Amino acid sequence: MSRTKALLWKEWHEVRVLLAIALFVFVGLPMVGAMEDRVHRFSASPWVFLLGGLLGVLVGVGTVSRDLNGRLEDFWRSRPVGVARWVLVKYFIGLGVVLAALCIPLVIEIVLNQGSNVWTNPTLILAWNPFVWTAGYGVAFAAACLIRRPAHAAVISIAALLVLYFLPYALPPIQFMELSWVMDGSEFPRESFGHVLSIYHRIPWMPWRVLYEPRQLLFVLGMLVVAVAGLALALAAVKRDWRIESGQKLIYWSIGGVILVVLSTIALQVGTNLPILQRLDLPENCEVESIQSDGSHGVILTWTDKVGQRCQTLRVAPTGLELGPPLAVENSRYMNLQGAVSLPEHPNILYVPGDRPIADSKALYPTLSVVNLNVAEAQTETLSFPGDKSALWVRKIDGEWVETETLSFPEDKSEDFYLPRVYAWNNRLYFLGINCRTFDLSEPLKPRLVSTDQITWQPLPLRRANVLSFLIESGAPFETGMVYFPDIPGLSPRQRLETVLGPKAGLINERFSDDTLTTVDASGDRLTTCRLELLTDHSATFRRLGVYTPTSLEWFYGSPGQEFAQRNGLFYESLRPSQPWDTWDTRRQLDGARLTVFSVDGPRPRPVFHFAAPDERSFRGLCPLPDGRLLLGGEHHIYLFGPPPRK
Amino acid sequence: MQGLLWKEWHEQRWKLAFGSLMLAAFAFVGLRARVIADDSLLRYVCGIAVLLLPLLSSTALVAAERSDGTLGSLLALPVQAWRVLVAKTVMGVALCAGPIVLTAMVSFAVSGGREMPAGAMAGMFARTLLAALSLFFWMFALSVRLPNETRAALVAVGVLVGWLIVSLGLYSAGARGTEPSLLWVTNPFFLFFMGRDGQSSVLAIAICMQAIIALALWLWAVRQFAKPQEGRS
Repeated sequence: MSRTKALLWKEWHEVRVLLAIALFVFVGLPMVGAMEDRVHRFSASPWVFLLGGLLGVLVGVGTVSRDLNGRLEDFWRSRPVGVARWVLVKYFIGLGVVLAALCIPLVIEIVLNQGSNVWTNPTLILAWNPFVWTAGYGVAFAAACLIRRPAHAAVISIAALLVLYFLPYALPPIQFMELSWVMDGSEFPRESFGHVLSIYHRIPWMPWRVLYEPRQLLFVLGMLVVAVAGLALALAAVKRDWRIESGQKLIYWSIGGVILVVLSTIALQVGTNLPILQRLDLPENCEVESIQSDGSHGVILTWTDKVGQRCQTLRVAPTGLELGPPLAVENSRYMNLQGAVSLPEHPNILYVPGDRPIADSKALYPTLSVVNLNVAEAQTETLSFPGDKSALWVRKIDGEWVETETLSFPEDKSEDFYLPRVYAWNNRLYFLGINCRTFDLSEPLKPRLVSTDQITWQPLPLRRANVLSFLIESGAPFETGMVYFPDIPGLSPRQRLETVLGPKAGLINERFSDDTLTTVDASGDRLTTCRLELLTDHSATFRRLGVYTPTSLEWFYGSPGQEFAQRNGLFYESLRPSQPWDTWDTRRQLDGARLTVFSVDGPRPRPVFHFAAPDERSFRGLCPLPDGRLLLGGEHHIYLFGPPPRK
Repeated sequence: MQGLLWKEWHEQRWKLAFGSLMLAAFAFVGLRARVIADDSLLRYVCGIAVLLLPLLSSTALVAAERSDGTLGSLLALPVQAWRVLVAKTVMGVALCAGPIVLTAMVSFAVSGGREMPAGAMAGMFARTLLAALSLFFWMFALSVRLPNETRAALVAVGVLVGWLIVSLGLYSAGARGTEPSLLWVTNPFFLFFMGRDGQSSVLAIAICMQAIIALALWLWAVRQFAKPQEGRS
C-alpha cells in the first residue's frame, strides 16, 4: 500500500463517522418527516441550507485537531511522510465528506420531489452553496491548524463563516460574494420580450437546468480563492509550526467583530438611506390622508378631528414645497377625493367622483363634483346621476354599516360593487360608472356633457379589474395573465388600460407604470412584478417577471405594506403601523413608520432604499414626482425626499 | 497604590476597549439606522449593558488572578490587601462605567433631543450605570473567593438570574415603582426597570439603600479576600 493510500485509509476511517452522522441528520430525519407528511414530501434543503456551513466548520476542525495535538503531532512528524501530503490528504478527505453529506440529500430531494418544492429550490442550493461550504471548510481547516484548540478554533471559524455570509451585504465592492445575489441571478434570469438574454448559459457542473451569467462566476472564484487561501495557510502553519495563542481576548474580539458586521448589515438592509430635502410640520391632530401632484402643482388632503377633511393646494418648486391655505370641502364625505383628477393647465380645479344615497333608500348613485380650490372657500358643484344605481352595495353611511337590498335595475346589473372613477385627457373628462359619460372641459368649472355610452366591463368586475391579482394571490404558478379593459370611445388602448390599472383606478394592492405591474400579496409581504407583453384593443397580456420575498432580517424589522405607489421604475411601500391586535407578533412590536423602496425595472424586485421615522405612527400619501423626488405624508410632518442617490 | 492601578489598567484595558466599542457601536448603528424609536433602542442598549458589563468586569478581577496563580505574588507585596482590592474595585467600576458613559456620549451626538428629551436620555443612562454598578458589587463580592473565572462567571450568572427572578416575582405580584417594598428598593433591577416610573424620592431611597448594600458587600469582600485559601498550605 502506498503512503498516500495508507493516509487516505486512515483519514477515511477517522472521518467516516462524521459522514454517517451527517447523513442521518440530513437524509434520515427528513425521510422520517416525509413518511409522516401527508403528501410524503422529502424536505432536506432547509436543513442543508441552514446547517451546511456549520457542518463544514465541524469537519474542518475535527479532522485537524486530533492529529495536531501534543504527542500525536510529534509522532506524525517523526514518520517518513511529507507534511504537505499529510495535510492535503486530510483536507481533501474532509472536504469530500462535507460535500457528500450535503449534496446527497439535495440530489435525493430533487429526484423525489420532481420540482414541487415549497422552500428554496434545491437545484439552486446544489448549484451555488457547495462553494460556500468549501470556503467555510477551508477557513475552519486553517483555523484549526493555527489555533490547535478545537473549541476556540470552532468559535473563530463560525465567526469567520458569519463574516463570509454577511460582509458582502455590507461592503459593495465584494457584493459578488453574496450568496443570495448569485442564487437570485439564476432563479430570475433577465429577459427581453419573454426570452432569456443570450448572456445566460447552462451551468456545466449541474445535471439539471440552472442558468448563470458570466458575472456570477466571480462568486465561484471568490469562494475558491478563500478555500485555497485556507489550504495554503494550513500548509504553512503545519510546516513551519505556526501557532496562534488563543485566549479570552481572541474569542471576545472575534465574536464582537462578527456582531459588528451583522449589525452593520442590518443597518444597510433596513436602515434609513433616503435623503430628506424638506420637512414641514403639520398642525396638532392633523394627519395626511393623501397627496397628489403632477410634479409642479398638487393637492394635499388632510384630516383633523375638529374640521374633518381639508384640502390644501401645493406648489412643488425646485427649492421646496409651498402650501396654500387649508380649505374645507362641503359634503366631502360623499366624495372620493383621493380619486380626483385635474387638468395640467388648471391644477387647482378637481373633478371628484363620488356617490350619494338615494332618499328613503339604501341604494347609492354616482356623482361627479367639481371642486374649485382657487378661492378662499373651496366651491363645489355636484352633478349627480341617479340612473346609475348599482346593485349589491355594502358601504358605510353615517357611521353605520348597512347592506342594501338588491334593487331591480337589470341594465345596471353588477356582480361586484365598484367605485366610480374619472379620467381626464385633452380637455375631455371621462366619468366611468356603469355608463361612460364624456364631458367637455373647455370651461373648466362648467363641464358639459357630450355623450353617454354604455360600456362593458365584462368579463371582470370593475374594482378587481385584473385576473392577475387573482392568480398572484392564489399562489398558483403562472407565466402570463390577462387584464381586460372597457371600450371607451376616444381613448387609445393604453389610456383605457390606465383606467383600470392607473393610480386613480382605486386598486389596493396593484400599481402600474412604465409597462410594469407590481402587486403585493394579501399578507402584504411578497412582491410580484409582471411586464406588459402584448396590448390589444380590449386586453393586455402580462408576463410574470420576478418575486421578492423579504429576508429574515427584513421580516423581523418590517411589517406588512399599507400604501403603495410606483413611478420611474421604483415601487414605494409604506409599512403598516403597529395595531393593538398585533401585539402577539414580534415584528410588529417595533414602533414607528417605515418606507421601503424597491427597484422594479430589473428581472426581479429588490429593495434599494429605506426610510424609518420612529416618531411617526404611519405614512399616508405616497406621491413620487416625475423628477425622482418623493412626497410623503406622516402624522406630524410632510416630507420631501431628494431623488434616490443611486439605483 | 498607583502601581496597583497601573497593573490593573494594563491587564484589563482591552476589556474596557471591547465593552466600550461594542456597546457604543450597537447604539451608533441602531440610532443611525432609525429602524425603531430611539427610546426603544436605547432601552435595548441599556439592557445589554446592565446584563453583560457587571458579568464581564467582576469575573476577571480576582478569580483570574487565582487561577493564574498570581494572586499569591500580589498579596506578598508590601501592600495591604484592602489596597489591592481597592485597585481592583476601581478598575471594575471603570469597566462598568466606561462603556456606558461612552455610549451615552455617542447617543447624545447621534440623536440628542431628536426624539427623547436630553434629560430623559441622561436619566436612562444614569439609572443603567447605577444598576450595573449595584450588580457589579454583588457579583464581585460573591466571587472574590472563587478559584477560577468559570466558577466566578457561574456565580455572577446566578446573581443575575436570582435578581431577575425576584424582579419578575415582584412585578407579577403587582408591585410598582410608586409603592415599593423593601425588597424592591434593594433590587438592582429596580433602578433600571422601575426607576423611570417611580417617584424621585423613592428613587433616592433606592439609591441610598443600594449604596449601603454595595459598601457592605465590598467590606465583606475585603474580609474574604484577605483570608488565606482553605485546603492550601
